Amino acid sequence: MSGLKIRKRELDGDIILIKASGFLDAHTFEEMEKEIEDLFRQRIFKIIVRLDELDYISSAGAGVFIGAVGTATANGGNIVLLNPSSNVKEVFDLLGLSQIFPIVFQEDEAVSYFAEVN
Amino acid sequence: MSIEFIEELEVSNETGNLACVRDFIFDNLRKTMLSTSEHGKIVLAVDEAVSNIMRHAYEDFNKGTRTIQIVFKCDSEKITLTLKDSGKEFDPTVVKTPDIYEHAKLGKRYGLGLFLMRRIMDEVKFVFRAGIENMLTMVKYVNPHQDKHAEEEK
Repeated sequence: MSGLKIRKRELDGDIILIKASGFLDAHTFEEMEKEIEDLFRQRIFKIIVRLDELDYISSAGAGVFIGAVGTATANGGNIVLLNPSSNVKEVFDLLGLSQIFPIVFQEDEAVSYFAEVN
Repeated sequence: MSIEFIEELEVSNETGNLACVRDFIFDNLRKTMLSTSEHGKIVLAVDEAVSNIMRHAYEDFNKGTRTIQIVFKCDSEKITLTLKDSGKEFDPTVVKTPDIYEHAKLGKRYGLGLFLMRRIMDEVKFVFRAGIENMLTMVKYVNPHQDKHAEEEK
C-alpha cells in the first residue's frame, strides 16, 4: 500500500490530463505538487486530474489540489477532478471538496468544462 | 460474538512507514465487527494522526530517529486507537474547523488532518507531556446507534 505513479497527456486547448495511480499521502504528495508547479511554470493552468486508479488519498494529497486551485483559476484555468475512485470520493466528500472543484466522470465532460468557461 | 484483542505497532518518524501503518489498521479492522464501510475512514484518521506527528511533532528530528507507538484495542463496544510519541506538543483547541473556501483562496495545503480525525472518530483526545510522552486516543463505537438506544432506555 504505497507509491504514486503520475502520467501526463496533452489535450487540445492547452489542457493537460494528469493520471494518478496508487497512493497520494504525506509520503508522496510532493511528487504531485512538483508536477503541478511545473505546469504552472509552463503557464499551463487547465488541468484535469484522472483519479479512477488512485487507491488512496489523505489530506496531504488533497491539499496539493486545494493549494493549487487558486492559482489555476486566477490564470483562467481550473483543476477538474475526473472520475475519482470510491475511496477517494469518500475523502473528498468528508472534506467538502465538491464545493470548490468541478468533479466529472467522463473525459469529454472535463474537456467541455474548459470549453464552456472560455 | 464478542471479539476482544490488543495489537501494537511501532514505526519510526519516516513517512515511508505510513503504508505499513495503514496495513496494520486495515488488518486489525478486518478482525472486528465494525462495518466495512467504516474501515477506510478509520485508516484515514490514523494516517492523518501519524502524518501529523511525523511532520509536526518530530519536524526537528531527522527521519527515522524517533518512534511512534500505535495500539489497536478492540472490545465488544468500541475500537480504541492510542498513538504515543515523544515530540512537540500542540494545542488542539486552537485548531479551528477549516473553511475549505478559505483554504483554496489562500492556497493553504495543510490543516485538514485534525478536522478529518474529529469528523471520522467518535472521540479524539490529546494528553501532552512535552518531550516525555504525548498520547492521542481515538475511539470509534462499533454500533453507535445501538449504544445510544441503550443509553436512552436506562
